[in-house]
Amino acid sequence: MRWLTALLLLSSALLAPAIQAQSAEASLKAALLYRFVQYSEWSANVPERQHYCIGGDPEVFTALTAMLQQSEEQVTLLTDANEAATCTVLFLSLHLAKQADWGLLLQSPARLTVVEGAELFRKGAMFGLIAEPQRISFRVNLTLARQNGFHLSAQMLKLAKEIH
Amino acid sequence: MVIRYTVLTSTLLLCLSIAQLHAQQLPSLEELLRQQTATDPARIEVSTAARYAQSAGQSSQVTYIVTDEQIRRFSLRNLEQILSLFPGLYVSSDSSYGYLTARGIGRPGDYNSRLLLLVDGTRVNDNIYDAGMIGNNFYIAPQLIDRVEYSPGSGSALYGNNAFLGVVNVITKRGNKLQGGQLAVAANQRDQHDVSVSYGVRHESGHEGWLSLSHSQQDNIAFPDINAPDPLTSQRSQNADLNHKLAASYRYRRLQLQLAGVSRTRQEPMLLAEDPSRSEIFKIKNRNYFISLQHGHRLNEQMELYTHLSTNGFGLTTFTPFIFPSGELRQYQFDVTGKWTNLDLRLSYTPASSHHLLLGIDGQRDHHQSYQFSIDDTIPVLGASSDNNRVGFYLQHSWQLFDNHKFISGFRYDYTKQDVREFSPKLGWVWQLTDKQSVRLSYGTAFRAPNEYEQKTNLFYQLEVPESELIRTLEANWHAQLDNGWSVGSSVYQSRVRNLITANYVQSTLVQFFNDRAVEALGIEATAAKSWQTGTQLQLSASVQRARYNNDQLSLTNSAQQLFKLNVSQPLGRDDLQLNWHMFAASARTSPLRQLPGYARHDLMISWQSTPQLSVVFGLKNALDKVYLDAPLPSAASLRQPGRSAELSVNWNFR
Repeated sequence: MRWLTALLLLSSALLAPAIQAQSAEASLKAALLYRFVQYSEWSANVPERQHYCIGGDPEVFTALTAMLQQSEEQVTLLTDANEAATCTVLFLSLHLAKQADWGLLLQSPARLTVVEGAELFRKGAMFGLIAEPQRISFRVNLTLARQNGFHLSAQMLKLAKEIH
Repeated sequence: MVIRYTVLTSTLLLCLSIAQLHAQQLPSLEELLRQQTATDPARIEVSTAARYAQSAGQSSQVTYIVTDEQIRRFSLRNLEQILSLFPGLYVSSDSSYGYLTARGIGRPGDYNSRLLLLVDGTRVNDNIYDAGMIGNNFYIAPQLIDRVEYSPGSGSALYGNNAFLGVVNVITKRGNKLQGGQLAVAANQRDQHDVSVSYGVRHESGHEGWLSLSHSQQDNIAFPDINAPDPLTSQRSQNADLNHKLAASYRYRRLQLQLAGVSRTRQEPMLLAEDPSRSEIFKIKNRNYFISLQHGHRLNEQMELYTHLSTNGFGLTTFTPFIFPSGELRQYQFDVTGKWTNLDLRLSYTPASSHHLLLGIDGQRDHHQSYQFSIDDTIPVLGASSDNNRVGFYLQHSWQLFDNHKFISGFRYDYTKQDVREFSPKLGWVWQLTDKQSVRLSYGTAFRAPNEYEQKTNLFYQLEVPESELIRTLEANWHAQLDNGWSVGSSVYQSRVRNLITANYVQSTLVQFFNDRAVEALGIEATAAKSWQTGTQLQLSASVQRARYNNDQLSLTNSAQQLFKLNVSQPLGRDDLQLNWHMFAASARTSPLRQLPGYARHDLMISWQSTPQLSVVFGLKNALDKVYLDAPLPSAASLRQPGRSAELSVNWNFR
């Protein structure tokens, strides 16, 4: 009877539909990006409307576009690092860490920058998404954010895994 | 019917995906951070394999992870239970200590000296036995652990001594998970009661800290020896284990000050050698602590400097009763004390996107290593003390030669005051076949120098001190994230071991150490994991490992050749209620006295996360009450492992 129960549980697990891993994860990243912007204040040169630029992840671009379709904010999928001049919020995906020109985009002080992975975060991003098993958490470079004139809410900082 | 209902309900609930929501309807940031994802394991961030944080797929060596969520769901009560979830690791117990076998190699009586044990990067193997304590006397209570990383293979090219079969890094929680007061209470049918209280704060400026006090007590411990005589078993109520722990952490930005201490008293009845019909209490007192200070400093856009200073203490006293020739009852007292300090400096340099250099030096100063053997602490019988130093220098270069090819090379040179000089090279290649598939090759070496106990014991008997044991490992790993959601991986390895330091027990209490014959270990580890939309999660691993002496092809004792581990979590009609099933199966093990049959053990736990602040887990460990034996001690005595036990644990966060 015990074995039968165990077998039934395993069968139900195997037959159940799999998570649509890519889209669910991309939607979560897009939502986190939006929340980071909400919890951040530009102390100078406050943009009239945000221009989100997504580098290297079309799925995050699609998810964020869908999320912001009823707002006036602009979302662009960057195909080249040179297209980022008007971006106020920049998201770079993990695989761009191997390409030097994308890392240079993190140097702009007026831009809120969110990256995936420790490699890009070390290059000078304000927010870093941390991929964990079953979860996404984030780290904040508070020193850099303040240097760049951003005020980050205490509520968000309490939820950050690491504060640098 | 219940299962169908479960699947259907969960599916409907998850249809409310965040993908369908507009910005105004988004969950809060806190809720988003609790969302479960099926992240490709190659993208998960790890820090143990390369000694700095990077995506797991960027390293030439595999890193396995057990998370705080798994610790909670499966009610894992100590590091021993956590480690038993990792592929290729086999854990056994003598009811006092936990013993690890990794990839088919585990020597009887070895206190885990062939695995380097770290707490947030601080080395905690002691400086007498090189022991890594993994039982209830481990420094950190399980509810303070964020995750445990295990990087199997020869790791001396970065870590030096002890990283022989792998590196285990216990990473503690931070301010985001430890805010406010927390109470953790657990009890089981085996008379074990654990209570832990902690309090954590985080200020918006980045200051954060927590303090934790833990108490763990187990009474009436069953004697594991299947041949325990009546005078012992009648005194079972005296067989007890008591642990107190204190741990604290303060962080500000990239500065961390951490301290942890554990005090343990273990008492067990023993038969007197002079009168085997009489039993008295044998007692062990253990006091260990460490204080560490670490800091990461960004020098410029290309360079970061890590500084890590720690100081540790180890104290062990055993009280062994005996009948003095005059007829009175007295005690042999054996005191072992160790104190040491480690300093680690690491420079991370990224001159270009395609290159990364890690340059480091670390040293250990053994301030104090002593043995005192006396009768009732008044009549000295033996005393010895020493102090040692060791220093290591390492360099690692990662080179992204093409977009999908990365090469890793490095070496480490170690020198100790006992004139141990070891050069440990490392080579690795990561080939990213596609976005979701990679192949990794690595070659590494490692060593373990004879520890203080092994050296002093042989010197006492005027024998040669054994040479360092050496291992060379060649490993290939394939990993793929399949379109149907499965994440699969497989590692094949071959290790050649020379000079394995082995104990020869001349009499029951006297031991001498020698370098044993060469050993070859071959093995394959396969892992698979998947998460379903219903909330079901499955992880399984299968390991086939064979370690044999080269000359006579005899298998090493104390090692299972096949291991199978399965973890399934299945929601029971609602997201906050889950059935968690852990299956552990091991093939037969050999001991010098007998063949120990294989077995399968099942743990069934129901976890209920009623709110983010309250979690209750109830269930049965070894649910089918499987009787199985292990022989982790030099005596090769067959020891019964824990039977069925009902467990209840409650974690309550007062925010």
